[in-house]
Amino acid sequence: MSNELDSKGVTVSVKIYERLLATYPADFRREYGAAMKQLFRDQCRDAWSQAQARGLAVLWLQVLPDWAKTSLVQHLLNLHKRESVYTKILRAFRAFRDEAPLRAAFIRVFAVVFLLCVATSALLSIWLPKQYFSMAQIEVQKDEPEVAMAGAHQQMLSPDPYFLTTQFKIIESYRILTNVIVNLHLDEKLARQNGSTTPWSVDETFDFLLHRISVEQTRMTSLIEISVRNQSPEMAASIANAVAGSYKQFRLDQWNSIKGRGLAAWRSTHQGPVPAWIIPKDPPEVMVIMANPARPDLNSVVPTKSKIFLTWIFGGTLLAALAGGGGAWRARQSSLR
Amino acid sequence: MKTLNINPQDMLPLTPAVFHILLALTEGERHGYAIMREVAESTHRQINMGPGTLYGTIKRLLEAGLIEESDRRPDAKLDDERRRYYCLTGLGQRVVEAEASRYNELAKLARRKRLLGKPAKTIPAGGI
Repeated sequence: MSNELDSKGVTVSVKIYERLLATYPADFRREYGAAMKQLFRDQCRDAWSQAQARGLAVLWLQVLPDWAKTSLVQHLLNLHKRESVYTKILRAFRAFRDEAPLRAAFIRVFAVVFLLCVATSALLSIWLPKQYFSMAQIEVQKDEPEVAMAGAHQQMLSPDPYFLTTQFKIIESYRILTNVIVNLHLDEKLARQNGSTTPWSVDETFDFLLHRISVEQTRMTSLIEISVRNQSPEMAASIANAVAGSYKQFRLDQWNSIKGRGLAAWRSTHQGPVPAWIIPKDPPEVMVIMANPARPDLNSVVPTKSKIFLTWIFGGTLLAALAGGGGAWRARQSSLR
Repeated sequence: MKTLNINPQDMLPLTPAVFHILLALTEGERHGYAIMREVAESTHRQINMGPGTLYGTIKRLLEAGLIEESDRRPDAKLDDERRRYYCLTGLGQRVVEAEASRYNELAKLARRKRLLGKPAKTIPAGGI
């Protein structure tokens, strides 16, 4: 009966069969896996003693179809027996409805968890500093070619549908915001405001600022809103205005860098005086107009606290319900023991 | 398990594998490999069950209350004490008897129809 007496063929066959057993459903394998392996080993020993390798080959020819068929059948039976989620929920609901101890356990745990969540949210709301909100509105003109074409040529220039969204990204870009950080010394001011004795790096300040700025389009207009939130209403307003100013300067710098190229290009291909249908470009000052500068407003409190409070209440209710369910389940398990 | 009120007739007909396993257990407790060998020998190797079929059927029979696992463990010197032995339950005994009786009735019918008891047809020399 000992394994030492088994031939290599038997040992290898049993090892292979052990691997094949892994394809059966877990509960079936747990219950009968060891017995099946032992039975197969017995079969292998008999087959080997009768016809050595040939006997094992014949045995495998019988066992392989049996394995393929029965592993599939066991999985199908498992699927058939498995309770649907709907049935489980229905059963849990009925148990909750009919069994008073389960109800009591649920309500007890639910109440404790819910009260904890409410207390935490209230503490967080009190502890968090107020945030003020300030918004600057700007009007942005699209870039026009320095040498604009009149008549039929003008119609060939199609409008850019992504112009405004591109400008949003430019306003939030590192180049614009670092100008603001340097000009307003935000690395020092924001660090001090957040309890740091040493100034932040520009990158740290940029990351902080980026999460407190939002750039959006004013509904049904071409105006851009630059909104900033900060613990100080004055600082929120100055940052919003500085961002608008930095963006305006960026557009002017861009225009200046390409100034004269268009006309020079026309002159390189044409001779004589410049014709009348070449329309001179608008002065660059109107490319970005400050429609509404931001002002400090003590009433514009960002609803962060109420959002946090509501989120905690909502999440707390869900958490409490889950915990209550867990409590009821534990109560049921202990009653079954 | 409430098996006393179950009518054995309701569980018929049995599949050949189930019937042969129950038949193998009528003579007493047996472990899986002994059942398999008994079935193979009694059917002249016409029914060769693999381990999957045997234990799949044993699982069904245990769930139906026709067999049960025996507490008996063999002497470790004579046999592997990890082997699991199975025996018929009261219901299993009644079901196998009912199935045997059904086969008996079928055999009687076949005799009346002269399908049984006739000598086997012989093939004439030289082929058909």
